[in-house]
Amino acid sequence: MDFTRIFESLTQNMLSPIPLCFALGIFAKLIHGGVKIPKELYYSIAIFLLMAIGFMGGHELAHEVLSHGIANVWMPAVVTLLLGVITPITAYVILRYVGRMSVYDAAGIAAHYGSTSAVTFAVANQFVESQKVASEGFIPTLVTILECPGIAIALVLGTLLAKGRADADPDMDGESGGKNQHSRLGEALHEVVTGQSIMLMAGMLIVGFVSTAFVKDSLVPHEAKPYFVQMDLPKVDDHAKPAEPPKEATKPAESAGPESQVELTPEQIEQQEKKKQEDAARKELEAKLHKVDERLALVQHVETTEKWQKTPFHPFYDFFNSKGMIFRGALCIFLLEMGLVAGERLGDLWKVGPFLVSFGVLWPLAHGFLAAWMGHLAGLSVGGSTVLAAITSSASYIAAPPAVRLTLPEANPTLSITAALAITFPFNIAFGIPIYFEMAKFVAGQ
Amino acid sequence: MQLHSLKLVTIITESVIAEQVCDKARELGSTGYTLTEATGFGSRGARHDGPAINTRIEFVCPEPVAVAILTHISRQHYDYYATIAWMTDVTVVRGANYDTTRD
Repeated sequence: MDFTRIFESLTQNMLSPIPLCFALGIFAKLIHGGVKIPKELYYSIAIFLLMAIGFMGGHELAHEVLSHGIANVWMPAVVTLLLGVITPITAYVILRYVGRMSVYDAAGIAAHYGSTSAVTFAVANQFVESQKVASEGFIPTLVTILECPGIAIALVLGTLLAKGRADADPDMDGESGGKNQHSRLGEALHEVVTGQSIMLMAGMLIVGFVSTAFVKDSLVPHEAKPYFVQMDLPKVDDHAKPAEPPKEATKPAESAGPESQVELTPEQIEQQEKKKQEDAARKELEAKLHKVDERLALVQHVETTEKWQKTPFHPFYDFFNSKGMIFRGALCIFLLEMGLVAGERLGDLWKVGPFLVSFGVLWPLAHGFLAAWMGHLAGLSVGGSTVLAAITSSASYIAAPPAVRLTLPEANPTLSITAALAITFPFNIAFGIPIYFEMAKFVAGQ
Repeated sequence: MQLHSLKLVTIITESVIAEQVCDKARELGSTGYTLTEATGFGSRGARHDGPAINTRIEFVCPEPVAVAILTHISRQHYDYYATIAWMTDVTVVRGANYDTTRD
């Protein structure tokens, strides 16, 4: 891998507003600054982000399904499900047998890492777009697939393995034994599937899909999308030489040979002059036509945009547009708050120990690579594989903690939250996403 | 006007299980409860920022009910969840409201 390219990706990423707001939050906390984001604002933005991600995902999924059927979608979905099953298991095994953690702690942390962080998805999406690579728009579907199985599997693992030990130990208080744990597990699983994250994202996915697929005038025409990544305007280079004329102009002179130049009659010289003038005129005309083409394309783009903006669908698209200004601005505020929270948790890094700190960096790297590779095999683009790598390697800190608290209260929440919020999330935002991008390019053979 | 002496039970615990505690309290005889959000600091770590929040649960009930609830919490929750609980004496009007045993 080319390390100068990786370094460039890293700096490009770190100097964009979203990671910088995160850094600002950490800094503000470290110097005991007075920045305090109101809780309700934090929750409101979280709701908006989840709804927007889901809605746009459903909209793009409708686009994809209506134009290509499920051909490009089913394999990434299967791969994502597979990753959602693998990740909690590998996390549990490593934490339990390499990190020597208790069953509860290992399962609790595995539940976090088996799931995903929607915010990491949003940041990864912004990064991929800033790199001007194509990415699939239906990836929120994959985010929802990845969210639940990981938590469920880790919790079931923890409950079953802990139950085995409780049964073997006759001194343990029967009240916290098997029966109670099963009902707690059931309740936690119910909450995982009906919790805010998944309900908003999956629910809005359906809303976006249905309102796009079955309603007239809601498909955004390709020419109306306002970001130049989707615009394929012909590029005009005023200094480019057109391909054919020079050869024609020099052919008669070459075939004539050096000795015949002396013998050219005035008429032939006049003919050559005329030809040169005609060629020059043709060149000029072609250049003008190029510019006319470009202007035509621009006019068409503006007309289509205007036509589409008169449909009733476009305000929803504009508001929830995850590439739009509202989303990006809200994401900045949200990441500022996350920086504040992470900054507060930095003090806990000493408590959790070096193993968990290294786990929080190395496990995401390993599984990011796995996801980038599997994404490529499933047919995702480089951008799509990058985002898949980012969401696979991310750890949930909203959906997972309450589920773990309910089912495995013996698990120490400081470990899991610190690992997810103070180690893995900052790592992914600052370094991980650009690294996964380079991994995805490497796997695709670029 | 008749005044009744009852107990005010206050439980401060993690929001994740607040609902469970309230349901159990009603099961053991309380006629209702009041919830407030709380932040703070304790032996299990600070909770004064970010999304992690505590809930303060309060309700008025007769002493046997209060004792039953506190016993349940000390057995079930103290080991696993950040919880503190206490009861104090209160004097109320309309004591029948808070007592499910009387009718």
